[in-house]
Amino acid sequence: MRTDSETTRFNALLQENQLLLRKVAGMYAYTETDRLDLIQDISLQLWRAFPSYDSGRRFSTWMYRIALNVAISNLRGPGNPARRPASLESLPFEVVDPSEVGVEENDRVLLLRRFIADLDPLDRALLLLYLEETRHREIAEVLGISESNVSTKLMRLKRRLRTYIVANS
Amino acid sequence: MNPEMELEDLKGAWTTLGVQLQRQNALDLAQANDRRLRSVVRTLRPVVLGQVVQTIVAVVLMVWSAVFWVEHRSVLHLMLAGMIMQVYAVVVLVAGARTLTLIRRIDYAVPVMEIDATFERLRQWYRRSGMAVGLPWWLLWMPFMTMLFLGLFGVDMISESPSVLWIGTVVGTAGLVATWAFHRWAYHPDRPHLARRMSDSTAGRSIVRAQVIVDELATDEDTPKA
Repeated sequence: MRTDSETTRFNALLQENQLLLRKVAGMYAYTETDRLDLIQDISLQLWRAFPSYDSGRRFSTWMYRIALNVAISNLRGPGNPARRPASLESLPFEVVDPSEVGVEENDRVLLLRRFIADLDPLDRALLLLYLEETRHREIAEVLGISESNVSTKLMRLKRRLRTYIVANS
Repeated sequence: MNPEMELEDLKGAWTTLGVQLQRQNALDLAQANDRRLRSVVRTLRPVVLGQVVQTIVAVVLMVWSAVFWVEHRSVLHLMLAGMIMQVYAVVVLVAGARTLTLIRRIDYAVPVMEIDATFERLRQWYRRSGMAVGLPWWLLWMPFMTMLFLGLFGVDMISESPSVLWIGTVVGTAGLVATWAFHRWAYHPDRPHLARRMSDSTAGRSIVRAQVIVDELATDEDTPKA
């Protein structure tokens, strides 16, 4: 049985990191319904795991680990056709009004979304953490790999981006 | 597309995506809040209906009591019974009308914290007016039954059996005092949980449910967003 203060603390932390949840859901789900389902699944798992959260460590790191685990296992789990793109043109991070930036920036955002769509679930997690300026040590902690492995994988990801750009330009 | 683009260059695009996502998040939240506020209005419908019925009953009782005491001006206790019931009907009418006014005055366009405060006022008023309407029945049943018996059977209950009046007054007063003592005991600061349960049970289920929704919205609004 959880106490009221624990529930309040959890809700506050969840609200503070709502955007982080949205980003993870945006990475792995293609439709708004799937994104909301995924956010709900992640929130549930976070709540279940909350008693094991060590408050001496960063909440976002702990949250990323659980959120990415849930998102990846949901993607890999059987009977989840809804998690796949609705069509071949579907891209992650569908937003309501992307028009408020310049053409060049829009192109860059589109490239990023296409590149994400091209990646496997683990590389998406790596890219997300990299783009969020997460330190290598924390990326290693979240993904459960060594720091040197993180560097190697990031090098490969950079190479892959170059190949992707050349192939698509 | 610039073939020289590096992973580092995508960070700008990621920031833009984050801003767009945040905007969408705020939009979704505003829509969800709007839906929840509409559900508050729906939740309050039974209260509105109940208060409308209460107001109609009060008007009928007021007219009946007025006609009764005017017709029986020559008999003191019958005139008093009619007058007491008329005063009571006015209290019931005012209570119902004020509750309806408080519900109508809830402005769902103002910040949720203000709606929350309005709800707390509504809840307090509903609880107090409920007590003002309900508790007097420890004694009010006597003038009411006097009017009813005379109206239906032509029997003056008080004249036929005057003991009803004094036994009823003693029992009713004891009941009122006991209820008052129980309330004081239940609402003592040493028993906050019992006080809350009592407050919830007397505030009306619909109002409590609606306030829970508004409280959730207020908590959401009060929590800093990413």
